[in-house]
Amino acid sequence: MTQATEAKTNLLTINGDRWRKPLRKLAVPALIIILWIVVSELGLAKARVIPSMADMWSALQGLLELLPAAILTTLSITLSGFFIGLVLGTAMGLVMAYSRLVREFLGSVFDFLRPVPVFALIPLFILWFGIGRAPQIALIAMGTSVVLGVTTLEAIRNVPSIYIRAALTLGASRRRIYLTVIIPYIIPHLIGAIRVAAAASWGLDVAAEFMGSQQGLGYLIVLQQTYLRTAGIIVLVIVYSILAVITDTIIALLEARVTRWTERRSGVGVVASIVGRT
Amino acid sequence: MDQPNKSANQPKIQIDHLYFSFGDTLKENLIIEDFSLDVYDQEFLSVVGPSGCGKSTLLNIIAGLLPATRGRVLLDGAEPEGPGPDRTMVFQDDAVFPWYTVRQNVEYGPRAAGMPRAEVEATATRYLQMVGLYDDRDKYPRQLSGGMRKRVDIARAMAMQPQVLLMDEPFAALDVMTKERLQEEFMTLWNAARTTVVFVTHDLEEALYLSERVVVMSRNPGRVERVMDVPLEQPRHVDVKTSAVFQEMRRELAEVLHTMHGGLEAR
Repeated sequence: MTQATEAKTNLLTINGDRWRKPLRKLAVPALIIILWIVVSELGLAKARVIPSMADMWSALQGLLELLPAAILTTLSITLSGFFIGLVLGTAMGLVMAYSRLVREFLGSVFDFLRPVPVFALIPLFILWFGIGRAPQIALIAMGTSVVLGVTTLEAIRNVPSIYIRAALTLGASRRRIYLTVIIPYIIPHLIGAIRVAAAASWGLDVAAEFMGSQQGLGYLIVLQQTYLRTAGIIVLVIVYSILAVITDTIIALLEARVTRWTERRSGVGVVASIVGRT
Repeated sequence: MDQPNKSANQPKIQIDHLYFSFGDTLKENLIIEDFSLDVYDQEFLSVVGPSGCGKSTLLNIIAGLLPATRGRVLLDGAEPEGPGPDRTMVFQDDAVFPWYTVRQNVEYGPRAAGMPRAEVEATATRYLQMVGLYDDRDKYPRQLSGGMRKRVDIARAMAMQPQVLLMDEPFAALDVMTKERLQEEFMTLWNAARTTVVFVTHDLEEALYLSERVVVMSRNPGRVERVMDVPLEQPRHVDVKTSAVFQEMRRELAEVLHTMHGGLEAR
């Protein structure tokens, strides 16, 4: 084969791949939507179970006016709860690893709180903080912080001793080792937990809004349910999903920045295909 | 005893009737037994022995990373409290911080010592140039080969200008060619810096080529089996390895190890 034709075949395969890949990604969602349209148009299911596309459209139209305020409320509650939990959880994990005294005092409380189902606390939180944003934020913060506290502690325990030994013989103090060895080492290990916690925050928000609130997306869902508007519920669920996907994407982008030093992205070829990175 | 390089009256490191066991009692799991040795200022001393003889443990005790079960280790006549920058260590495993660039790694010690910013940079630059990694200063360790990472490790330790440099089989994980290159490079570095070095290895040739004194340790428990002077002039050229004197000493060392435990570990 001459060089020119070789280049051409390469180009062809690359071009083919460029189109085939997104097509494969979209195939299953497209199939589901087609199935949905077929089922609703042919009247195979009740409109209350599977609404038609026209119902969806009018539901969206009806909600459009309410959406901006609801999104803003939900977004501010979820994000504040998530950030408070993120800071509180990692700080707790770090302090508990750093100080034996704190570990002995808080360790048992932490172990007791960890398995408590957070959703069960909703009525209690409402009694304590009343109806409004405070109990919702507290709930999300608590759910997030427990997960991150445990993960942080676990990640610190797994820091290879060689790095700590090297830092010690280079004259680093305990505090310096935390700042320059432990924190940089655990960050990539925490990202997974942070993503899970962010996703869980949206779930916690929905639950919190179901229980007691006068605004927000979760509240709108409850309203739609009382009027048996299935289409409206689906529209609101989609809005929730879009918000969750956006936050997850932002975290993933930040991840790429903070984990530049890891080998995670350097694997290519067979290895990358085995661990599902391509 | 007559020692070379006895530049000061007082030894740099005094190991005084040292015992170490991993068990609850001294008898249980005894690793090091009644180990006494003086290391002199600016001396290059190697410790060889079969694996499991406690030579790495000994180094960790000197570094202050492990406590002595009985006996003590003195630095300049005083017992140091825990690990410190005066006794920097280079490990066999890769201990270069992967989240820092080459330059940040070399700056680590001086920065921890609270050196002013400009001085930190100057020191790092000097040692990076010494190990020939100045052009790679902004790379991350994962972008370097094993030999280059070991150079970063050595530069990082030397940038501390430690009173004692402890080396725990630093070149054992490298391929033969890289290993020999690094031995030569390190020989030059040491001749320029003249810091006290305690070098643990199981490679007899490496021990003889680099050091001025070789201590042979026995196993189960670890004790001083033999101390051998290496009367070869410094700085040494690689050719010294093929000389008759060198080969004779190597044969003698191998024999000590053989008669001891079968010495299968030693090459």
